[in-house]
Amino acid sequence: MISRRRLGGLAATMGVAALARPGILRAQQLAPEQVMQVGFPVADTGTLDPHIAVSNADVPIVQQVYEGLLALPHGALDATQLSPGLAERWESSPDRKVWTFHLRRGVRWHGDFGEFSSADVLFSLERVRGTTLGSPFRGTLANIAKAEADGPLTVRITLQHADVGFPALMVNHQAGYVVCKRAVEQGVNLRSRPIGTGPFRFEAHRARERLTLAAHDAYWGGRPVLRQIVYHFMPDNATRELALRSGDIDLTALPARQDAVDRARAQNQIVDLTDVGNLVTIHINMKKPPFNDVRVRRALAHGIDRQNLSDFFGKDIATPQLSVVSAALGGHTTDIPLYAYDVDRAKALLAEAGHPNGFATEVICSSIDLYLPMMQLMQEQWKKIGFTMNLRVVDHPTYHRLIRQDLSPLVAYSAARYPTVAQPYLDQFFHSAAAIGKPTAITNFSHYGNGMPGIDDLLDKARYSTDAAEQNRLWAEAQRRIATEVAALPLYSVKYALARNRRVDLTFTQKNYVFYGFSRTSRLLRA
Amino acid sequence: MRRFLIRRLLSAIVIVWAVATIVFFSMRIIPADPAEVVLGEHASAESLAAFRRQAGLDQPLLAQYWDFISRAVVGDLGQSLVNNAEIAPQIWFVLPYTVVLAFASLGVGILIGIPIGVLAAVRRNSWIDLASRCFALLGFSFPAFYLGVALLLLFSIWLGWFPVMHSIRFGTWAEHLYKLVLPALSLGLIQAAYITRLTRSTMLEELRKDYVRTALAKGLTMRRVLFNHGLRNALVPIVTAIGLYAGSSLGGAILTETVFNRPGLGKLLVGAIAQRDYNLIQAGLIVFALVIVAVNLAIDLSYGFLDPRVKHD
Amino acid sequence: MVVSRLRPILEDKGAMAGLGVILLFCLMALLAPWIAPHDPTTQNVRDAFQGPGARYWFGTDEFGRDVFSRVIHGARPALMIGVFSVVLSVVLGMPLGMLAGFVGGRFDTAVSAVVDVMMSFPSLLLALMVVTLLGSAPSMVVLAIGISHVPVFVRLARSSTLVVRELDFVAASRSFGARTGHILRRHVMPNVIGPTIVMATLGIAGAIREEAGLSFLGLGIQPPAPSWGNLIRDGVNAILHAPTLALLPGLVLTASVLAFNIVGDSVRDMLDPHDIAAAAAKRDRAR
Repeated sequence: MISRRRLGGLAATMGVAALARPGILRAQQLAPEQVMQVGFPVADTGTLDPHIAVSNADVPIVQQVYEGLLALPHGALDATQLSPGLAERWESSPDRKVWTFHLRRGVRWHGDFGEFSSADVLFSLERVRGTTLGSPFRGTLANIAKAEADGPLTVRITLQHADVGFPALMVNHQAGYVVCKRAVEQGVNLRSRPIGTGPFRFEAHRARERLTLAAHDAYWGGRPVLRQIVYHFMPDNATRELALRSGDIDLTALPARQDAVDRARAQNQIVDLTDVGNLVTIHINMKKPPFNDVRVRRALAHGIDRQNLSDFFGKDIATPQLSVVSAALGGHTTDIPLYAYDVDRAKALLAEAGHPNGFATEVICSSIDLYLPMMQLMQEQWKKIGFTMNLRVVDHPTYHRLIRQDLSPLVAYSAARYPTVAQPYLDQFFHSAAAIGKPTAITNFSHYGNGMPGIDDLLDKARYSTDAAEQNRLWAEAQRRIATEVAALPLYSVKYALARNRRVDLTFTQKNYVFYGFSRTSRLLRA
Repeated sequence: MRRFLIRRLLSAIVIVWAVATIVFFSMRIIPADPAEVVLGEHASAESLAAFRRQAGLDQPLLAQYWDFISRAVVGDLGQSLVNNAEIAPQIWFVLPYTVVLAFASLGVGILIGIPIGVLAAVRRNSWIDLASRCFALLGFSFPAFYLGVALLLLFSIWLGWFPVMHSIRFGTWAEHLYKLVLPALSLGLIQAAYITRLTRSTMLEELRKDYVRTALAKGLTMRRVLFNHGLRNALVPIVTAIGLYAGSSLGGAILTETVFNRPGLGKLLVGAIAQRDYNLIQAGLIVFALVIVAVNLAIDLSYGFLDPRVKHD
Repeated sequence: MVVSRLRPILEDKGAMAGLGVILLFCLMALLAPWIAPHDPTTQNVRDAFQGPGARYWFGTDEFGRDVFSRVIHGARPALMIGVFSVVLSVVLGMPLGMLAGFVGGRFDTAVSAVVDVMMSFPSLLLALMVVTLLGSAPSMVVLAIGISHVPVFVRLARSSTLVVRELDFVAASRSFGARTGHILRRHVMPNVIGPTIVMATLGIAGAIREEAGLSFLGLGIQPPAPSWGNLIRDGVNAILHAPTLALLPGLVLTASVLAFNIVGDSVRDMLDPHDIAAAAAKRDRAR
């Protein structure tokens, strides 16, 4: 959370300072051709609409094209270090309910769409909040009562409840992206042709081949150093690894495995391990027998060998996690019931629950690398306590459909939520309103709180609390209840492994995104 | 000749129409909802309904079918569900890659298969014949994708002679050719097996015929008889077979393109299946059928040129 | 009649070797749990990516599973899908082809048209479509491959029937008013069955290859169950540092396909070579 004082300070000091950071290099140290060849680890992008994009195939590209009123630091999803973006400064009323943003003058949209103004901001907010688009980020802006313009360069937003952290939502991330009103009105399809204000503009997309961004020379922050960024779609791990070795690509994502990291390092490449805070969890449907018996759920918890998981992925990649609020989120606690790895205890619990010889269940699993290996490990671990998990492997889109039809008693889900505090994560996974099957469903696969006691009371109280200590206390209590009831099994958090050759100079540290991003000053050095 | 042409053309059109119809309706019986595919995991009920309306998915099935067919006739294959891009240009972009691969592998197959087949027939029961039969059997048995993997490992990874993947940067013609070698070999060697066997058996039959014996008795050299008569007559069944293999060769291209990460119709289709892009799957299958029908048509018509004895009426 | 013509196969060394290999694979599939040195799905993460050696003959995969044991267990889906899908295509294709050839007329035209349409598709593509629509449970893979091979058997049965139909004794029993079903069973079937057996043997080879192809694309047998195709697929993912993971299962796959091809070829040579040469072209077309 952002303190009141820090925000005020930011407004005053961050004006021009952020632009003046590139180190001056002599021309001969720069590579003659400033074209970044990127090995992008997916088959194709899906949608480049910033208000819809959630997948790793889309977000890294959206980030290069679009901006928000405020800017997150390059390479870090860190709401405590915001700097001016499309707004030069911002302030709030003393009660933190009315926020005023003063927009930057002379910002050009990509293409022939003219100058950025307050109309674009209002349009964007309305687009996310409205129901026609169906933006997944609609809930993020639920606190907004009204948004209005005061001339072309001022936007005033009135909230329903006071929120000191509100500016953290108006950033270049998800709900905070600003899209071009005129472009949409002229019928531009933002899903396939993004029009933003960022340092790089969309140039071309060859389906399943590559997507090219070009420098936006009229960028308000100055002319970008890179002339082009070419994203080559390369879903195959081995191909990417070889292409990086041969120099065909400058940077890419490695499979999240220790051996891949070690090989890249041995090849004299730079490996960046980014802490995206993704927590891998298995949610247990608490309504489906035999999982409606808490003893069965506790048996599963005792049957988890987190050491085995981190052995498999490697120490650089997987960090065991004990609470459903990962250690990377504000509000995390381990002052909760912990279930030590104990096969005998697990067997005893199962016997007590009426399964002395164990039991078998079919569980649906996605075929993607993020889930299938992990679920195969869990299958093997649980075999030891007498729980036979028969995996039904389906492709990823099908997986998402089936788990939302409540068809799998156990649901593996890897997720991070923004802002990086416990609230949004708990809201989406454990609030009864988010339970699968309800019209307001999000991702509460356990049905915790839906027709049974849950943590709704704690979450509703914490949501707009202005007292940080009180919030932390409520979140900790929520984690205790979830752990006691074993609504979900937190397993580990993953780091993403990215690799680049030594020519790549990002000019910032890539801390916690799933893929590399680039700034105006990112560049290629002479080999 | 003209009547044959018209009849043949009509039946080709009917086949493509039938394929398009079957594909269209089977894509509509699947339980998956395209709206969900497009709008993703977080879509709201309102936006799903809006999408269905916009995409015409709420229309009666027959109306949708009519719309689809009338557009397809003028080359409009609709839009990709996943990235919203027009499908026709995507297919036009990758089609040459697949066609080039198919022709190149066919070239490899002919260059290897016909000489070996002829030699094996002429020197029946010699070691060449034995070797050719082993080669053919092996070729039938090697899955093309596995051969591709083996070639990739040997020539690209261990020896480093060839690039591991297809064009990262747009290259010259020479570069394109260079990148074509391994994929064309992995498909071509397998076709060579078919062509070897076929050439051998048709040549054996030709050589048994009276005119060959007579010609040889007259003192003409074996080589002359072979090239003036034997091979020429044997070409007809060989060309037929090549037509038959057009389908298999395109089918093999699906796997080969995947192994070598080479753009093409097959890779496009596999990608579309993985992403459940039903519009693209539909279009890809139809184009596949179109290509195969066109090849067979061309083969049928070529008989007239290859063998004057064949008269179309 | 068929059996007597098949006798020379016992003297054909190549065919015997092929049969021996097929038998070996059948035993492997039947006895897999007893002969595999390790459990095919038991993981030993600390032993991941071991090269081939005394303990693990074919090495281990990313989970430290014994690849040799997985290859042995992989014989099960390969043979099962190979055999069942061909049985399916014979059961569907042969009667249809016989009937079309025998009845003739509009029915024949309609069947031939459908077969033509199906033939214009590579069978892998057809199988791909079926699996996409119906999912990739083993039964669906059988259905997918089975359906895609039906046209071959329809054509084969139809052309053999056309030959028999004109024979005197068939024409005679027809004129005596024998029922179609009776004639088909008594007179037509014996002549159709020979070429069909050949084609079926070769068809199994093709089906095994196609199952591997589907699994290689991730659309066939799903992990953790081993199948030769998905073993190769997993191997390709690790091809840079553990190339044997893809190479060895591939060799086993090729060997099994080869065995069926050799046997099919020999049987073809034993039976009337002329009928079957035409049939072979049709089989090839289905690929």
